[in-house]
Amino acid sequence: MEFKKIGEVKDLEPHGQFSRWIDGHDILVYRFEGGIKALSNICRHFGGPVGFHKMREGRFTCLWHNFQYRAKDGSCLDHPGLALREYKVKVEGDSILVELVEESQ
Amino acid sequence: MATLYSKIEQEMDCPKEIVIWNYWDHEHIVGTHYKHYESVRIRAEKDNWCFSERYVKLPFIKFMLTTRNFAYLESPFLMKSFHIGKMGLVLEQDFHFKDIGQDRCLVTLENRIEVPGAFKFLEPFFKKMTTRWFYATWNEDHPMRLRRWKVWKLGFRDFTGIDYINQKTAKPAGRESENRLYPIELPVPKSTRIRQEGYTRPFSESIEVGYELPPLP
Repeated sequence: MEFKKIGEVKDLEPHGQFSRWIDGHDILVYRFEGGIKALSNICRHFGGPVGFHKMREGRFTCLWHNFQYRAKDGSCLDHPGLALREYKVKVEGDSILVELVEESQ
Repeated sequence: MATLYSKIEQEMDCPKEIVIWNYWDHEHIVGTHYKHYESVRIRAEKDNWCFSERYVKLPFIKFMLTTRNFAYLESPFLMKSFHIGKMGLVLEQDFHFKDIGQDRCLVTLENRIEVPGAFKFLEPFFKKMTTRWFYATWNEDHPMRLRRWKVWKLGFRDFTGIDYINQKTAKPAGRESENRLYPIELPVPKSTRIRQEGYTRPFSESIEVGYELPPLP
């Protein structure tokens, strides 16, 4: 399980979220219920930026076509089968790391 | 009668097919352009033509107005569009698309509107107004097109996503270099009731975090 650095805790300010590309992944990192979570930032509809707008009422709204996703688990309110992938997150000091590849079970 | 005319050219770092997809993706009008458009409705659509209504606030006019638009793709190189506004005014637009190199295209827009001859003096204002509107929407479409092209090259499939992301596996080496052409497929698949009821933006104001942060050093 290799974790890669996606950013730093200060990147979450001032909006409580940020997104960044790393190794072919666009990842949305955000504060949620006292912790830090990460979802794919690539909307499964047409590929738009899920985290363009600041999260409101526990949801992200993709800029391009307004698809909504729950911050809790990445599930899609508009199309139940199109949940965003969740990334495992580790915080080491000021660094936020995510796991891009998960070992198959 | 007199014709007011303006011409605008702009290069884009993606194939022309991405630009065409962007123009024919009517649902993005109240997404990407949410600050300008309140709602859009497709009244009729088939293959290479579309008739739609938009409720829009133009940047230089302080109120909302309804426009009707008929557009058709005459070829992969030419799209014609007619905006029908109040008082019978018809804005005719010719969009020319030309590939000018690897992942690069040129968009040329010609605007024409017929007015009584006495109003020819308004042409400078017409040029300024159409140029300003072109860039107001172009600046919002530009990152959208670049991103669409980027995710496409990574293997993105509509209503699915990217395989290695969904499956949590390693990105195939050289994925971005694979020759995956972008097709023109009209009409663009819909995810809303834009044809039946129209599609309204969920909000007019937002705190924008924006597109992604720069890569880590």
